[in-house]
Amino acid sequence: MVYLPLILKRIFSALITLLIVSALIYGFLEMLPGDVATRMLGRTATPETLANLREQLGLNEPALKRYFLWLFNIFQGDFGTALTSKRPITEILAPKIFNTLILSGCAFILYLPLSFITALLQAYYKNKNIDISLSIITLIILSLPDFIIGTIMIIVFVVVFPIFPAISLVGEYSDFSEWFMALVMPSITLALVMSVYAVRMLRDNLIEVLDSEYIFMAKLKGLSKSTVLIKHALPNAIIPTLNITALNLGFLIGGVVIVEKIFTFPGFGNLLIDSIKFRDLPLVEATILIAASFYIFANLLTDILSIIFNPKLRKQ
Amino acid sequence: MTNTFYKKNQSELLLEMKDIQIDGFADNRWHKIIKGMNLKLNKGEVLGLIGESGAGKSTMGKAAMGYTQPGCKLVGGSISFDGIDLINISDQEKRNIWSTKIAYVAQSAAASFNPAHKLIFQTIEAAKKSKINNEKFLIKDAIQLYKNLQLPDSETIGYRYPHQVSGGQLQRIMTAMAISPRPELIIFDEPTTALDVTTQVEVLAAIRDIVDEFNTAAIYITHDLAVVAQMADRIKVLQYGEEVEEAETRNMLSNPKEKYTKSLWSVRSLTKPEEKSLDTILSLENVNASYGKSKVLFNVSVKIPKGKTVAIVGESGSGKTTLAKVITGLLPQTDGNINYNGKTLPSRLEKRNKEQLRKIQMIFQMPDTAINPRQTVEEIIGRPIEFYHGLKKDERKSRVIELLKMIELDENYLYRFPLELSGGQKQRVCIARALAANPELIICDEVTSALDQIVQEEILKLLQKLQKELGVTYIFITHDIATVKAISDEIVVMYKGKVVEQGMKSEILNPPFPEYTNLLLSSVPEMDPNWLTDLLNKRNNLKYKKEINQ
Amino acid sequence: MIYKFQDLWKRSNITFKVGFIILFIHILIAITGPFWAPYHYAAINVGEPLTGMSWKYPFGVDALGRDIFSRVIHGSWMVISLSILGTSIGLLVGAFTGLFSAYAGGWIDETIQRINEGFISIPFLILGLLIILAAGPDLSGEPLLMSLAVAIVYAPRISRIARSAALEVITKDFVIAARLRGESAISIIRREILPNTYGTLLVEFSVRAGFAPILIGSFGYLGFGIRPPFPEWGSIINDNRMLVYMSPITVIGPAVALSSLVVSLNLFTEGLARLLRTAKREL
Repeated sequence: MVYLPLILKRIFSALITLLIVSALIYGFLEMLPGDVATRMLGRTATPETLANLREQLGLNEPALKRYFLWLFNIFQGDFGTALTSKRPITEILAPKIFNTLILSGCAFILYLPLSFITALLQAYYKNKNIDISLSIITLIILSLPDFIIGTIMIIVFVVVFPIFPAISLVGEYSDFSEWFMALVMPSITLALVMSVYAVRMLRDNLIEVLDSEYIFMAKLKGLSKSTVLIKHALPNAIIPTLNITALNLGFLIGGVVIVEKIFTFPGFGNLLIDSIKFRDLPLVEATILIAASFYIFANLLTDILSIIFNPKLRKQ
Repeated sequence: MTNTFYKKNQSELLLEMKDIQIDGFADNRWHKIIKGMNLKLNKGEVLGLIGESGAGKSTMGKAAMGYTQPGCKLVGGSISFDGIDLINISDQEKRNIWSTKIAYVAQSAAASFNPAHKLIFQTIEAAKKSKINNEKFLIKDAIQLYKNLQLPDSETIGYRYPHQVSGGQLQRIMTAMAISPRPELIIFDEPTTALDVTTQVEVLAAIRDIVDEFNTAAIYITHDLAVVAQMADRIKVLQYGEEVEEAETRNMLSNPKEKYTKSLWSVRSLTKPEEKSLDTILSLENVNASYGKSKVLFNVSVKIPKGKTVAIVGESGSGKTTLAKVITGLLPQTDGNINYNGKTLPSRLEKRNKEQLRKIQMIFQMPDTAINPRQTVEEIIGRPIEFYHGLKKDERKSRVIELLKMIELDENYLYRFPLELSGGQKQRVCIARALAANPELIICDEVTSALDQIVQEEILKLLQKLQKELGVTYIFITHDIATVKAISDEIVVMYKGKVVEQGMKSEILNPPFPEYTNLLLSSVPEMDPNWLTDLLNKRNNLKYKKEINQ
Repeated sequence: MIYKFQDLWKRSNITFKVGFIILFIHILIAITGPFWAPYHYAAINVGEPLTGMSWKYPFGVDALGRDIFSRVIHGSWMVISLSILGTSIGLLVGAFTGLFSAYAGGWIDETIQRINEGFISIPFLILGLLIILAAGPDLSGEPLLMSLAVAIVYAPRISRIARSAALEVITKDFVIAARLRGESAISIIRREILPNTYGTLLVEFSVRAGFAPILIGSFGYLGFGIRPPFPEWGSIINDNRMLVYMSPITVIGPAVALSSLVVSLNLFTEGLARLLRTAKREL
């Protein structure tokens, strides 16, 4: 295996990043100068409530010790207990993550063809009318914040044409049609947000590939346009596509938070907002860490795939 | 294709281009790139297109296929290939002609092969598409072609990816790719420009043989006269998109008519008498250097005579540029000593003092990247004056003007930005910047290789003049033997990180030669049209003798 | 790189022009708006709640009887200035760390890049929320906190871009020439590297400035924005989001304001980038 050392190196570096992220999260929330309890409860808090919170969070211990204890527990799968509901965080998180994964999965399935076909069309008809009008459309969608796209969807499909429910409440007992109705609008919104960024980058990437000398050579061999595109351009566009997709996961995860709020979808994003609202530190730390590790893991995966797909690393 | 004999059916017209006019789009407007040019080519004939950059030779070559690159448009003229009007046929028909009757060989083989596919499938792609034969046959044929082109491991080399094969080999594989559908015309667009001379000889020979064997007509585009002399039956000289003159190769070489052609021909005649110097300004003793783990210089010992020019000659990978980096301190040596005027020079750049730095200056290969595009000529040349000599404002300015005079530019250039200068002028500014420090030693790293031939000659003359006036020492790093002959007093030959030999120019360039020097010197193309044939015969005889002796 | 404006306008493309005009209108409104807006942004009961669109209340009236149009107009200057402030701080910090990291190389570079990577791994919106939460309840709702959050979200991303732009310049021979001359690191960064990254940084600034109102709006929409009753556009949409069934215009008004600002900034950027590309080629 030529790739193995490279892959191992990449995995190691992902773990380092994860460690840094955990330090950042913990540092921002519990290690900034000043008293954590006062910062959580505000200046108006009574001494009793402050002391109470310190007790609960174990704030009387030194910060560094608490950080390592926190890390150590996470390694054992224990994120601690939520302040507000007093339930184990893993128990709270699991069903929400499940819901969100389903939502992002649907969005992702829509995202792939949406971005790829659009970018391909644009690259193929570079600087022609199709390309220009698609560019303008993507630029406009790109300029619309996700909460505005979601609101427009609600105005159109709930207020004007009442097709979908305004609230996407699903749970353990929901059947398929309930899931379906609940998922359509949020996943379309997410897919749109993700794909506009991808389309712009992909288009430029594809055009760069199409401008390369080997494509020129393929054309001069008299190959048909479709052969040039599919056989010569696409294999070289896979790696950049993967990388762009990984980058866009940042939009997906950020988008999830907003979209779940708009459509009141009971997932990870709404949980994060609530935990921030109630300043439930242990829960916030856990959710943010999980969001970041999802991003890091996806990047790791695409990097490994691009190592494997890279012909320059192939043996004879 | 050898111009010593004519082929049977060379009288039949294959390609005729009449009054071709092509415009290119730049600076928000259209410019004329080709201004009404005619071109005729018979079957089996090879036409050389020669000219400097911007002459339009490559555009003309592509137009011969009925192709105009993006950003260009054909505004007038007609192209008739084998009786077919290449301008007014459909794209489909054009593609059919490209895959069967006309092929193209590009300058950069490394960029022209698709990195995602194996070489052999790219080789047979055109022939397979036009269903000339079945895949199995075509693969066999390709392997045979590889063999004819003297590629090593011809059976298996096709199953590698482009990055696994060297540049010279890729260029031969591209020739195989062109010949695979047995076209009637091949356009060779500077196919050996990116190669080392010793590799170039092999590729030239391979191209010539194979074009000969299949009696293919060819348009051979190059800026190198000596190369075109070996390859073409006829030569057409271009300048600024217009034809200067055209003649049969031997006539053209012996008797060029136009002034421009004569000036092209004369460039290589620049020489200078060698002079000996007994003082040594810089010496390297057993210097070793490496990039990370890979060692690049092995026990290099060189002496640089004061006030003279030493040419360091070698091909890519010989370590000649690394040597410059070691001398300047950019790449500290792992062991060995560098002495400057008898004193040891610290190996790391950061450890050298201002005086030590001032005395050694460098001029770079690419004038485009050697000067900051955001600074004016005055700032570029003025900075070392201010930095080393502390001159400010008016004093600085008058010194800059003085230096501009030395490099034969006037005050008007003070406030120009690099983008408003030509390549040759940029290189002059680089020379002035080096002189601004009042150096004793200037390292010239391939300073002429990015320039057109006539400009090259001007720069070399300027450097010689400055040496006479200022007595500076040059270390001249180059791969070009003509430059070496023109400028050097002493020569150092390098190969794979080692010094092969060092001596006066007359010693090195005259026999007896060590083996590598011989290979290097004999590989430099000469204007004699018989040179390649003779050289190959000589080498074959030698090989034959060796085999007999064994 | 200093063009006269007229010259720039003549050379520019339609994208740049349209973007510039809309942006100009936005800035004009931001500056003059507070003087001619019909009502104060916090004035309640100026109209019948939820009466919808009318000449008197072009963007309708919210549940407290406030005129949305006046609120949107008053919100303008704060949205624009906080976005530009946040982006500028992010650009300064990012450009400095990026250039320094690229020039220093070695373990310094490695460390800075690792930390950047850590920041970037937290999705930007979540990172922003994290910062707002970390500031605590006493500071949350402060307008400057929004800028700070934007700056912290941007700095590592801009740092990365600045670094790669600098790395491209560093390999150029003119930088090597400066090193051979014996110039100090500061002098090389300032004279040789920085001027050659202006183009990249300018486009980067412009792209980021275009996204900053979205980010600040998102904080507002999620309920972590500038404290009420200040009319930041995302907060207005959040306040009225339950009203879409009765009076959709209360949401559409601020949405149009926010979107048109971002569209104009994005058009401007795209035009600017294209202008710089052609300028580069021509020069």
